[in-house]
Amino acid sequence: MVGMFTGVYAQDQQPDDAKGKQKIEALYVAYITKTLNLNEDEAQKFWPVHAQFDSELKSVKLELPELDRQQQQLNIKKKYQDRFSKILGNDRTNDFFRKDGEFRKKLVEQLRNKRQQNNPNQRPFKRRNF
Amino acid sequence: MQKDLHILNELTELGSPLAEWPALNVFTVPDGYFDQLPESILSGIENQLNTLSFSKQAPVSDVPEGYFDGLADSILNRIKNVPASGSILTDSLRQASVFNVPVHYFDDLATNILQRIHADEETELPVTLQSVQHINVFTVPTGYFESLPEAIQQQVPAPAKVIGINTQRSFFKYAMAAAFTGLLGLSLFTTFNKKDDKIDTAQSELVMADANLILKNNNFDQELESLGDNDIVQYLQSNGEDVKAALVASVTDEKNLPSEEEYYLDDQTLDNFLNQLNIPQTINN
Repeated sequence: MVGMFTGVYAQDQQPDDAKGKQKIEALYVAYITKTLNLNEDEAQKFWPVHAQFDSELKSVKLELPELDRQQQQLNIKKKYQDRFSKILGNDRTNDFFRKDGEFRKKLVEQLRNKRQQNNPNQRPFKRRNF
Repeated sequence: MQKDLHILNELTELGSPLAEWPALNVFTVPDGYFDQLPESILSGIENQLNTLSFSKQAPVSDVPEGYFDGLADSILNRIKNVPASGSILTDSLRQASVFNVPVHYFDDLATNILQRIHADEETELPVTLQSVQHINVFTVPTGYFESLPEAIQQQVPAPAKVIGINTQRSFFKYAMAAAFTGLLGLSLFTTFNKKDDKIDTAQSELVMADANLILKNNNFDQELESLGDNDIVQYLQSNGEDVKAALVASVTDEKNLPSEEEYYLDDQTLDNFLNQLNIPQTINN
């Protein structure tokens, strides 16, 4: 009951930015759950560990030099590899890291498409044929 | 006679053998002793006083009249008439000098002393030091003695600070206050942290509910397309993504670059293309 109240309270108090973030996070969970085919038991074990993993990744300072930042992120991913493997197995853990990157790519694509669509004054380019 | 129970208990606690002694009074006095004691003491004092008053009435010795008037002169005359005995006291009283020195002893005394000092110096000094015996080998830096008192004062250890009992109490008072404030702060921090945790948990629950809904409705692509530009940028940045670099990489990866023909038509094609993505800064860099 208290949790529900807090949840409703949290939702009501959310600014638009927070709602957008919540929506993208929901899309991420849905994407990973579907592509890795997580069952209920796996999901219950996987997402709490993922929350810690995500928190540590976000704690890496963005002001760091690019390679240092990437190195720290890689260290965190390696640190959690074993923990994820105990839940998903090695192959699906590798798949998870791949899908994690793919989801971001999807977001970037979406951003690119949106920006291109939002420039009606420019004619569409003929795409390069590689 | 009864033993005092408090004292007996204490003695038992201490393991003293006195605790096991029987309660017997070993000191006895005749019957009615204390009744007659004041009278017997008073009678003893009276007897002593009577004796003293008797001795006052009868002087111990008599002296002739005017005996003490010429006593000092007669003693001095007697001493002067006593032959030399070797006693310093009697000789000095007869004004006779008991110390004799050779004639003109003091005339040469100073010279003799100096000669002996020089002689001692010459004989006792090692050969290596004789050459420097008249040289002052002790030197001090200029102004040494002017700064000496200050230097000594600096080396004197500062007196130990005496902390009174009241001061210590005051310290404890402040320590207790600090500890209390710390506990209060910690509890408030924990409370707010718990509150944050609750909100985080609630947030996670909302995310999971939304995710379930997306899976149930199978509308991932529609939800993705409905995302706002700013929401995507903020999400990517919060996950440590360089959005501009990612956009350029996306263009090249997806073979979305304009075809060669476009460059023939307009030499600003690439600029225009990047402008579409809102990343003109990338061109300049």
